[in-house]
Amino acid sequence: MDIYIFTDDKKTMSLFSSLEKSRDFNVIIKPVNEYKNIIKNLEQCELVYLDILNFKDDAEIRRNLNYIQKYKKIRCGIIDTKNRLTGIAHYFHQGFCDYINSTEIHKPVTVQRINEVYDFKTCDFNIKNDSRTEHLVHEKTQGKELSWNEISEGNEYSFLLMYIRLDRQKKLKSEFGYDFIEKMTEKFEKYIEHLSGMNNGKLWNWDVNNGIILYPYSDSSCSNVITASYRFMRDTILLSNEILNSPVKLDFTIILEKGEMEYHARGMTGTTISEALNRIFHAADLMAEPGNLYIFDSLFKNIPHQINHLYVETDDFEGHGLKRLKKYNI
Amino acid sequence: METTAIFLKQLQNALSGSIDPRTMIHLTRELIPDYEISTPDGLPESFTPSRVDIAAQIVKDIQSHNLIIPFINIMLRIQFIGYMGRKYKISGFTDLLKSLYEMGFSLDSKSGVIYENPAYRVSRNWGILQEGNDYSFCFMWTDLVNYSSIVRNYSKSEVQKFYSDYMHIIRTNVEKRNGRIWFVDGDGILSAFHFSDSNQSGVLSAIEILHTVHDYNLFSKTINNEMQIRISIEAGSCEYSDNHEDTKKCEIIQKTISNEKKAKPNTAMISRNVAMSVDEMITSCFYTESKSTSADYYFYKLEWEK
Repeated sequence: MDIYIFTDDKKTMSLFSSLEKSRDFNVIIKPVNEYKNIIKNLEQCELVYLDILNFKDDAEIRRNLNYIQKYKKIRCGIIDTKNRLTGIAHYFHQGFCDYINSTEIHKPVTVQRINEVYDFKTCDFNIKNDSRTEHLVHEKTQGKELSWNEISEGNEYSFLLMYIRLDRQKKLKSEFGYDFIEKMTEKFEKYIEHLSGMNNGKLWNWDVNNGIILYPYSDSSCSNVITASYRFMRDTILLSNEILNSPVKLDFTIILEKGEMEYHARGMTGTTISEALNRIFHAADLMAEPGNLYIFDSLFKNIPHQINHLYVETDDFEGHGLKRLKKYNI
Repeated sequence: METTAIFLKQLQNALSGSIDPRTMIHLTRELIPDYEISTPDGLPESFTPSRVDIAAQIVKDIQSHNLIIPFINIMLRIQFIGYMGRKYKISGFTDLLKSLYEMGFSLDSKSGVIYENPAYRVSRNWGILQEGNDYSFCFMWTDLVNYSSIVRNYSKSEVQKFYSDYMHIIRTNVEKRNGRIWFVDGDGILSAFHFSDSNQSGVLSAIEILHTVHDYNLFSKTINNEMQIRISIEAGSCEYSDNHEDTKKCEIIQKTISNEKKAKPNTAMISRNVAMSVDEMITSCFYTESKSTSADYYFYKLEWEK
């Protein structure tokens, strides 16, 4: 895989020298002023680092980062050896996948780091440009995924809503006690918050063992979230053991639905008027069986064709079609 | 291993401030047999160096033998487990640990030994294993199914891409659990796990590798053929060697490699002793081929509801 480093700084160039020994990566170092011409021709999923050292002021940095961030098909990391950026999380929300600052300038960039960067932004990009999802129906925000900066309170937007729940609370409580449940749900909430951010989502509401994540709606973001949800359910054994350190395999319920909703900063589910939100809560209470992933019919068209065969249709709920992810290893 | 003068001074102070000269020399002999403190030139043999001088000499000698980390592991052992029935409180140990973290080493909470932090560097021996010593490992052998037919039927660049994707999948999942790829033999890859719950790390890596391969076939494959792999996992003791030809001679490694044939495509096979040592929630995802309760091998395959 090619890794492009756009820098004019010799010290920064040497940071990547250890990668040159790796068979897996091909490091290409280019001057910063060439990056616009080069990234136009890059293939999907390639990794690019942009050094912001010589940009003269904040406005120039912002302009250039906005420019490179538009190329969604590539992975992009920022090199900031003078710590000129603040609020780094914002850049990760925008889609950047790595950040190298002054404290890291003395450590060579390792193969492991690059592998983690690739893991952080996986080749979900394949889905975005997939011919079978290109023709999708036009929606209010289609073609443009809103960033959270563009979303303001009191206005209505299209969201992809995800309901996610840690199941079988009573059983876990009786087997392992109240402290265990409390610790587990706390870890789970933190993990979900972290995970949601990776697809431009926001954990909007949390209630004991379940939460609602909002994703600004776009066709490509829906496909990515559906794929991420499928992976989440498939990897529950790894998640239970390695992330949540549970002694038993945990079960989770996920329900995905699309809907219009007036946005309020955080979780006022009682006063928010949204049919989709109501439906998702009803489905969670009345229909969803523990350990399953459900998708409402508004999102069927967004299920990537590669994993469509892994879903089965189930009974309608409140007049809406539903699909369920098949169980595995049963 | 690169060290700073400050770190060496910290080590010297920790040694001289906590351990008597006789014990210092005995401990050093665990790593350098027949070790003796040399008498400085021009001084009679009856000259007795001070405790500080002895500590300085030992630190200098273990550094020249590249044995700093193994020596610190001995210090950890005598602090937490003891030596000749006595536990030694090592002075300035917290500062020493802080310096080690800064130099890219971590403390494995389970085994209580220092090893290299994979975020900084990934070396075959985790920065501490000594040539010729026996250690316990979990070994994982992964092999591509029908690779020779892929080589025959696709262009060189397609085969290279396929192989590089395969390597990437294995490397990512092994190294994220602090495992190491020890050698590559054609399309076979031997990975070793040594720290923490090494068996569990090996088994979880195998599960995630199979899941990643499943994803690869769905989303990312670049040729018509699907990627199919077989995995076998065994655990046991093996003499560490930097030379992979010597490593191959190890009985447990040979067994791991030969077992691979017993696994079906896209299946991981683990031996009974590995299955017994990992969490039940993990083994519950495995199946056996015999109805006996004491099967020799357990299998994992990602299979979806029909």
